[in-house]
Amino acid sequence: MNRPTRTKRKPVYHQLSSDSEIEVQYEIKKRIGLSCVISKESIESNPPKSSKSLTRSTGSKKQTTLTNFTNPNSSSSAYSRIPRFNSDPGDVTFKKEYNTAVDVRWLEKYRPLTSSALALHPRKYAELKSQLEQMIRKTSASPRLLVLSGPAGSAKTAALRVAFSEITGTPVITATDSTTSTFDPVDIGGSDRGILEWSTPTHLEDVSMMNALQDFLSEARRKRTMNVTEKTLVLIEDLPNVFHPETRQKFCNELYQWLDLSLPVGELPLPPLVLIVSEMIIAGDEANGAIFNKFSTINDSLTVEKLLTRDILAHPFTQRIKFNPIAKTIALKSLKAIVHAEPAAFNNITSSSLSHFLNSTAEGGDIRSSICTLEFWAQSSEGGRHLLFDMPVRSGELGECSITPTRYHSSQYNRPANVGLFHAVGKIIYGSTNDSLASKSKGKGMDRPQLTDQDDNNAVMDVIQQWGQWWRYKLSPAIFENYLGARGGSLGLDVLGSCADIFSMEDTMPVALDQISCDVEMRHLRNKIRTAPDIIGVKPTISSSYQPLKYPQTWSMITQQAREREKIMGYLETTGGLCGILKGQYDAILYHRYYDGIITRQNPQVVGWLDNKPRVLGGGIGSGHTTEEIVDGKVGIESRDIERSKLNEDTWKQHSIYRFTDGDDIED
Amino acid sequence: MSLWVDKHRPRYLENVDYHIELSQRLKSLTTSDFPHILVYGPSGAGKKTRVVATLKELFGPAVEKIKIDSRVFTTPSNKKLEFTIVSSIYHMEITPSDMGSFDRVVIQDLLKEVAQTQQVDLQAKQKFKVVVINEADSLTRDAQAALRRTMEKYSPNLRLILLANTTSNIIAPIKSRTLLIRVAAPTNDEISTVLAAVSKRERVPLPSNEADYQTVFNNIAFASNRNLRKALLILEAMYAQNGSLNTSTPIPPPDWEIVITKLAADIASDRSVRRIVQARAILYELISHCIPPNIILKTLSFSLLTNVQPLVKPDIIDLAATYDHRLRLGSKSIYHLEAFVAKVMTAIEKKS
Repeated sequence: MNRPTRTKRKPVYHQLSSDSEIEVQYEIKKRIGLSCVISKESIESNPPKSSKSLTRSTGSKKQTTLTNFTNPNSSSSAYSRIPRFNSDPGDVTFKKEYNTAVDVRWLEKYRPLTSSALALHPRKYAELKSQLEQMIRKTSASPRLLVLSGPAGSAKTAALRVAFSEITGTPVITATDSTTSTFDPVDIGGSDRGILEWSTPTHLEDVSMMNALQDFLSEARRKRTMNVTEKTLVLIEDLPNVFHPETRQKFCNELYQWLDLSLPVGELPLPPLVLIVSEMIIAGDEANGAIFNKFSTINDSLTVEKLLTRDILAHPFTQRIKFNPIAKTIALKSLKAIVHAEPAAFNNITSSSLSHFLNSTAEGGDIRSSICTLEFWAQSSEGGRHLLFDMPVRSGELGECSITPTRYHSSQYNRPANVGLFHAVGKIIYGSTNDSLASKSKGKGMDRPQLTDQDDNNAVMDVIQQWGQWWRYKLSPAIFENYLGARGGSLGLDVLGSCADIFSMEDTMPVALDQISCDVEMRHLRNKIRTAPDIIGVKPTISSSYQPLKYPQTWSMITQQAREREKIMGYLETTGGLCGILKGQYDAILYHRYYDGIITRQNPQVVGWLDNKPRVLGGGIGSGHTTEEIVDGKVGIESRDIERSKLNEDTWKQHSIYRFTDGDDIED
Repeated sequence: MSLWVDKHRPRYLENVDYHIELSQRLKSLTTSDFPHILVYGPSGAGKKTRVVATLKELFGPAVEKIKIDSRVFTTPSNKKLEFTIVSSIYHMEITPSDMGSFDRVVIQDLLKEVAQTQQVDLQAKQKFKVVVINEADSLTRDAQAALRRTMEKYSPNLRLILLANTTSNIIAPIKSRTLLIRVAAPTNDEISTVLAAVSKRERVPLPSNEADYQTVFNNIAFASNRNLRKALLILEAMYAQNGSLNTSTPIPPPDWEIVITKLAADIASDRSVRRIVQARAILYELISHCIPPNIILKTLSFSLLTNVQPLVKPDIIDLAATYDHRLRLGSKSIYHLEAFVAKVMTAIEKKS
């Protein structure tokens, strides 16, 4: 292997120098954007030099870009409002908590440097920190792999970096400070920053991607022997193409080897490996025609369960921390801190429109997106009027109006309101009081807030907007799975009967009418559940008014059906060849499946099954659980995992214990 | 060694045990110009046996030399579809339920392929080929309409034998173009006779007492619900489990029936949200074992009928009819089954 080949393996974005590319990078991904950031440390050590160079290189370009965005006439005023670190130092404590570099995007500028500035629930942070500490201490029993998972913008990476710096006492490093912190098979020894990050090379000449990862991990292992005292961390955030099954398999194998590596006595333990997974659930894809095709496994959702094999997740050296979308209150705190630090940018914006904006943007649960939006919003507005969208939002008048202006805002600026599937299900089953005054009555013990038609309408509209197009394949099964628990399981049988009938009826609608069916189903259900009378004398079986929601089993059921059908087909072919007649599929399912099992178990000479193993095909029905178990409360509606053990075990196990909470206290 | 149900299957029309006059009629058909036929009747009545025997009568023993291969068909939307075809040199057998919603294209293609090649074997008794379509009642409307065209177009080279459980799902044009042959379920006595003959051939130890001897078979026949296939399987399973048969030998019903019967009894005894949750778990399990939803509904309804008060029975039948229809229209069987359970519970509550 010669030198030039190796250099080619370097990730391409380190070679980026032109400003326009940097601008593009901002839009793409925060981590890529880091390339023009100067850490706090370097500012303090020699401020004049670095800040100057940065202003020169990125600042000027940014101004021109902004000019393009804003009204040309107001371009000069847009300049003056661009926040500058030098002219506007902000308050002192704030500066210490955030990575207040010079003229960069706020996302970078206010990158949290201490745990108090993190937009994360303190409890979650403490969990992460203690886990990481344990790993860095490198006892032989400490975990080797830490999986951080959560939706995009839930402060996973930021929290990890802060935690690492607090543990090791080094300043927070931003990933691309130096090229050495990213992987280069040759220069790996040179990193002194602590975090060793894998980044998927954009092009490779003579090695496959997975071999490169293998090299990276073995380098990381080797490095540990070179420098004993150093506290390092190996980070994998940039996943290979895991939608390709073989790549995913190799990736898992690599991780498993790492976990399973047996270390000789006296050898140093492995450096902690952290895997950050931005989970995403993309609805609908698996539904588009993949139902009847057993060959198709296309599903673009990415979750930890899908990514990693069970061996890895269940391995004693694996630890997993799940991040939730940032709670509104916490996100608000961070956003307000930024507003506070940037008084110039918000000079012309009325406090009411600002608070409307903050509220709506913080709802998304994506702090990264919120900060970006905030910055853009602040810079594109003047005198309370938005130059881009020319939408008047004045103080007071609209504030208490029932068609809340924030809704209008959010459609303009925000990442589309993040109504997750479970959230959507919750909105239909439990109703939502988010937008009304009734929400104030929340928290008074068990009392359900009185919901109005308007609330229901809002809730249904929200859900339909987000999930309407996936109603048939995702939303409806999910609601179906959970509707029995509505009102704490205290609904009368007649109400449940009519609810079930709604599902049944809508299922018979032609696909072309999906939109209407969805609308009708949601409204009908919501209305039925809301108006249902409480049954006297029946106490809700659940102490809290909300229960864990379950992931729909439709898909795992279909998968299992396909598997079963394949076995039956195999059986039919074998026996058909033997006795010269092809049996009917249903005969095989209904009778042969069971009786052949019994007969061949007793008499192995009978050729029934292909492999001649004495068993009932596909396992007997009813063997998984007895009805008594279900009735005896053990697996009643409370713990609702009756079927999980049977049908649902692999893919969605984790999801079924998701908790749904209404409104903004997701973190708790 | 194969199962008794296969081993003792009659190979010739003369050997078929019951519906003798039907066999004679089939035999006489083979001597004249053979029409398209539609054989219908409940499962386990002997439709397939008769059809195979008829084919043998038509073409001679060569039809028994079958090969089973799976074909891959690429649909217009570029999806690969795999299905099984059983064929001899004279006939071909297909099961459209393998093909899902693409049955029209597949069937059209296959039939055209068969029909366009003439019989090459000059020694052949007949100059046409036969295509047997199993489970013809599960063909989509679309496919049935296509079939009707094909029947007219290719009639010199091709004869169709359709097998179905009921003619009600088959469109009228097909019914009018085929000779309808009903194979009724055997009576309990007929089943007992067959069982006795099979046990004798297999030398199953049986009670020597004449009355007991009869009772054993009658019991099985009764449990089989006039389904000869089921009866024979039960017989062999009982023999395999116990080594000998007498009146006290337990008759094992298939597992899914046990589960459904239990569910029906549970629903009749107590109704609550929890019961629905339990029912759902059971329904999910049944469906994922590929038990056809309409069979689940039917079995459940009939076992409910034995458990409830007379007053509720009409309601249950009404609901079963409604949701059976919905099952046909819709695609998510669990919805309809659960709605049926919930509605039945409500009905029982109201009348009690």
